[in-house]
Amino acid sequence: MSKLSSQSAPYQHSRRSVSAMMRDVLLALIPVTAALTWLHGPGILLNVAFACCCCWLFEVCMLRIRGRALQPWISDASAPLTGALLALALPPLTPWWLIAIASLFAIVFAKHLYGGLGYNVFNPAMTGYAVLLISFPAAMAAWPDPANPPDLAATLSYFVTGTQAIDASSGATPLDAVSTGLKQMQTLPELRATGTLASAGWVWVNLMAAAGGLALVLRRTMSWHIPAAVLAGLALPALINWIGDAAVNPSPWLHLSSGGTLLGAFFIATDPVSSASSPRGKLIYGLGIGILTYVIRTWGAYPDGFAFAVLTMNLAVPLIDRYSRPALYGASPR
Amino acid sequence: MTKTTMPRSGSWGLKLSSEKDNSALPPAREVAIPDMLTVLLRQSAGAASIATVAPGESVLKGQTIAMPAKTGFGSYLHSPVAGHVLEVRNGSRDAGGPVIVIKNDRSERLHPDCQPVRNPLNRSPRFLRERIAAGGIVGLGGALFPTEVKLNPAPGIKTLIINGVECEPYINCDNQLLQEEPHAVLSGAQIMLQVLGANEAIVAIEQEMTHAIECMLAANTRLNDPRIRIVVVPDIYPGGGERQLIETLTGLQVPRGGLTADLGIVCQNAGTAAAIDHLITRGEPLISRLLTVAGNCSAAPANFRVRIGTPVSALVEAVANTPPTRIVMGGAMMGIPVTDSEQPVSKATNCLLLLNNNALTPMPTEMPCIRCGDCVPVCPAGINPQLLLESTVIRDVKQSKELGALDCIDCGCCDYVCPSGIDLTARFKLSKQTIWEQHLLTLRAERLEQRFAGHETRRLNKEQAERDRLAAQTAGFKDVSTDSKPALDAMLKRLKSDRNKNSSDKAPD
Repeated sequence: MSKLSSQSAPYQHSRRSVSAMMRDVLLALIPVTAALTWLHGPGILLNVAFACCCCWLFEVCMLRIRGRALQPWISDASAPLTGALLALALPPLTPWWLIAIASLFAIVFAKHLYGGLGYNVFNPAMTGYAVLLISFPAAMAAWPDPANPPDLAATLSYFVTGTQAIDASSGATPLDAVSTGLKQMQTLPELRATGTLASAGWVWVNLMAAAGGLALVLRRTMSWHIPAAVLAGLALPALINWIGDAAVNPSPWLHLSSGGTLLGAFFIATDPVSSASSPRGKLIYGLGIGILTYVIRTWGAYPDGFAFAVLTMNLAVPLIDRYSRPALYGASPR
Repeated sequence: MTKTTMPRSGSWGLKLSSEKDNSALPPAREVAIPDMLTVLLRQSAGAASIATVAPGESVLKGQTIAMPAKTGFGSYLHSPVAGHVLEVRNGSRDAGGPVIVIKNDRSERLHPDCQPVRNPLNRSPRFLRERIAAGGIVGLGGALFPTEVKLNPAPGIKTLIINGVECEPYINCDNQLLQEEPHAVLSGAQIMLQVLGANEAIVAIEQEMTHAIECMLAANTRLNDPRIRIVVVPDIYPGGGERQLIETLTGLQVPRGGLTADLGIVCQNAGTAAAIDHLITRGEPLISRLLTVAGNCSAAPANFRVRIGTPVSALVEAVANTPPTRIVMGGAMMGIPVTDSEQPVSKATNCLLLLNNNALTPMPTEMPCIRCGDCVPVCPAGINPQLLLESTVIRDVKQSKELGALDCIDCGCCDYVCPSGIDLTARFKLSKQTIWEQHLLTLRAERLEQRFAGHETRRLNKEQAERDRLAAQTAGFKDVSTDSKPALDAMLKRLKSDRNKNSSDKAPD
C-alpha cells in the first residue's frame, strides 16, 4: 500500500478563507459606492480605483522588501479593500498625491511595519485617513455641493493638478453644517430652516452601506456585534441629549444618517484584525467607538470623529480581549 | 413512553452534515475473521495491561489474556478467537506498542468462564462491578475509561445518562446499535442503574437519528421501566461530548477539574451499555465491537461487527474499491490518522474512513490569524482559541493554562471555521502535551528534591547520632575536668609515680 497521510484531525473545513472574506466585503461595498457616486459625481470612483491600485502596489513593494512570497498575499484582496475603504472616507475631490500619501501610511506604516496581515494594531484605512485629516484639514473638508456635482473633466483636472478650478467647499456635509452652525450659536431649527441640513442624499448613502453590511452579516462573513454596538453607542447618548434639549442636540436619526456613520459601523469598525475577537469584546469595542464618535462630534474639534474613535478603540483592544474572555466550561463565574 | 426534545444549550458547536444514513439500516455486516489478530495491551485510559499468557500457549475465545497494571485505570483483555499465542510484547516501546498476537485456529471454542449471570438485577452492585471489570468493559465512546471505575463513584448518583448522541460526521455504529439492539442498550442501562443505585436513566439520542429514536421508543415501551426515559438532543457537533451532553440535558456544567459525579451524574456510551448486557446476560466478554467503514474509497458506508485485534487492512480489503491514501480511525473531525494499515482495531475504534485525495474538504493554505473571532462562539469548552493560539505561539505555559489549554476537548470546531486555515487543534494538543510534560518534570524535580532532602536529613541525623555517641563516651571526662580536680590530681600523681617506678625498674636492663 502506498504511504498513508499522517495529517491530524479535523479533515473537514468550512471552505471559508481570508481572500473570500475580503472579496465579499469588496462586493458589499458596491451599493454604497454607487450611492456616493450618484450623490457626489465620478470623483468617488476615481478615488476608489486609484487608492486600490496604490495600496496594492505598496503591498507588493513591502512584500518584496520584507522578502516575503508574493502569493498568497497579493491575491488575498486585503490591500485593495483597505484602499477602497480609505477612498470612500475621502472627499470626492481629492488630488492624487493625497491618496498616495494616505495609502502609504495605511499599507506601509500601519500594516507592514507592524508585521503585515493579521498583525496590525491600528485600522490601516483609518490610519491613512487620519494622517490626511490632521495634515490636510482643508482638503479633507472640501465636499462639493450635492446639488451640483462636478463632471468627469473637472474632477479629473482637480485630481491631477489639485487646483481649485471649481468651488469644492460649497456643499458642507450635514455634520459640518451642524458643527459650524452650533459654534456660531445657531440652533438646529434655524439651521434646518436655511436648508443646510437637507441630507436626503446622505440618507441614501447610509442606507446603501447598511444594505451591503447586512448582506455580509446574513452571509456570516462578519458578526452583527460590532455594527450593532457602534450604532447603539452613538444613538443612545444622542437620544438622551436630544430628549434633554432638541434645539442644540442633533437627533439620533441625524447622527445615524449623516456622514459615513453606517459605512463606518459596518465596514470600518469591523476590520477583524484591529478589533476585539470575542462576541462580548466586540460589543464593548463597538460601544466604545459609538460613544467616542458621539463625544468627538459633540464636544470635539472634528465634525465627524469616526476615524479617531476607531483608532482610539484599537488601542484598547488588548485590554478588551483580556477582560472579555468567555467563561471556560465548568469554571466558576469570574 | 413519550420522548422529550431538548433545545440547544448555547452558541457552541457546529451544524455539520452528518454524512450518514439515519433511516433504517441493514443488519451490521461481518468481515471474515483474520488468521492473525493483534490485541493491543493498551486499551484503557490507564497503563498497558500485563499479559497473562505466554507465546505458544493455546487460548480459547473469551479467555483472559491480560490483566490491568497496578497503576490503575487498566482493564482485562480477552482472546478474540480460539487459537494459540504467537507473540507477546510486554511493555515494549516498539511501533504499535505492547501487543499479544494470536493465531486463529478457527475452532471458535469458547472459554468455559464465559457464563451469563442469572437474575443480574437481584445481584449486589459489588458483584456486578467485579464482573464488569473481569469482562474487560471500557467506555466505547472512545475514551476507554474502565467502566467499573466509572460505576463506582462517590455515593449520591441520581442519574445515569446513556449517550447515544453520535454527533461526529460519518460515524454510524451507535445508530446501528440503537436500531439493532435497543433492548440490549436498555438492559445494560438497567444493570448499571442496579450497580449505581441511581433512580433514573436518560437515553440521549441525536435528533437526526430518526429511526434509532423510533426503535428505542418502541423497545422502552415494551420494557416499561418507568426509570428510563428517551431524550432527543439537537444535532450539533460536538453535542455527544460527555460534558456537552450533560449541559444540554441538565443546563448544568460539570465543574472545571471536577467529575460528572459532582453533579450526581454518570454518563456511559450506548455501546458500553450493550456490551454490559452482552457480558452479563450472555456471558460474552468484550471481544468485538461495531464500527463504521466509510469514506470515498469504500463502496458504500457500512457498519461491521469486528473482532478486536482485526487489522485495518482486513477491512480495507473487504470494502475499498480504490486504494486509500489516507485512513482515519474515528470521524472526520477528531479521528486519528492510521499510518500503518496493519494497525489493529481496538475497543475504541468506532469508525474507519478510507479516503483518497479527492475526499473531504482540505484546509485552505495557512495564513496568519486575522483575529476574526469566528472560533470563539463555536468552542464548546468556552475557550477563546484566538487568544490561546497567541499564547501557544509564544509558548507561555502559564498563560496557556489560564486560557484553557487543558480544557480543550480536541473537537476541531475552531479549525473548521478558521478562514486562515490554521491547525488550531493540533497546536493545542501539542500545547497540552507540553504542559503535561512540564508538569511531570516539575513532579520529578519535586520528588528528587524530596529524595535529596531525605538523604541529607538521614546523613545529618547519622552524623548527629555519631556525635551524640562520642559525646556520651567522653561525658565521663567532662565530669572529671569540671568537678573532680582532686581526683584528677590524684590520678596524675599515680601515673607519674607509676612512670618513675617503671623507669627505675627498667634502668638496670
